[in-house]
Amino acid sequence: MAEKNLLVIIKSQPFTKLNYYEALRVGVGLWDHEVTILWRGEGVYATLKNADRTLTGQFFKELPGLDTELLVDEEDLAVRGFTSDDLVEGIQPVGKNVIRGFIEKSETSLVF
Amino acid sequence: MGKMLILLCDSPFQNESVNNTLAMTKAALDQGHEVDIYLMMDGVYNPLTKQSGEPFHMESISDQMKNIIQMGAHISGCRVCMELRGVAKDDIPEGVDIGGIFDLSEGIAEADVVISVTGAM
Repeated sequence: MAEKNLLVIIKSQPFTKLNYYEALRVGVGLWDHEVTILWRGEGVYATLKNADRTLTGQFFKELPGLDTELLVDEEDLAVRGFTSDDLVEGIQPVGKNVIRGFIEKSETSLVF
Repeated sequence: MGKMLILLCDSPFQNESVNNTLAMTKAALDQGHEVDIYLMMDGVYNPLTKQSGEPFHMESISDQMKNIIQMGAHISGCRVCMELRGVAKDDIPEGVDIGGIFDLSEGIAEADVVISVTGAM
């Protein structure tokens, strides 16, 4: 099976709907591809240290071991009043230029 | 000719994206392309055979799915999502496979283009 460069974009808020959970389940399940996960927009709330992780806690433990790159849009964080100090360890804040680079190199993107 | 994978997570009779998915699939098949549809989340409600479009004077989504299967589309659904929602093999048409994340992974590997219909705003 051909491995692909896959970008999972999570822009749904981590409440109301379970998109944020299913996106991570997909991110973990597609481990045989090169997966990058990017939180942006309302999705950034899921990257905060104090966010509820009742459903997603296991995924946050597993993802670093799968060599999955974990990114968050730093501008979307900033407009909501958060900085890199508020983030879960292992998630890297990145600017729009870096995000553009990831989008350009990804062969497939799944948006949740 | 190319191969398209559609990840369909939206429910029937509530989201136009379902109808758009069916229309896109028919158009792609008519052009000679291959189409795989992978159902996740509420998307697994789409093939339920007991649904009826009658109250809205429309063809049921399930019947339309049977139609695109006959045209050559391949449809499979996430087993976990079906179990969560009480959707059993007997509730869906013959030709809709029950699969798992590995099937999605394989579908992504084989597809020339992947479209995610996840209801993300």
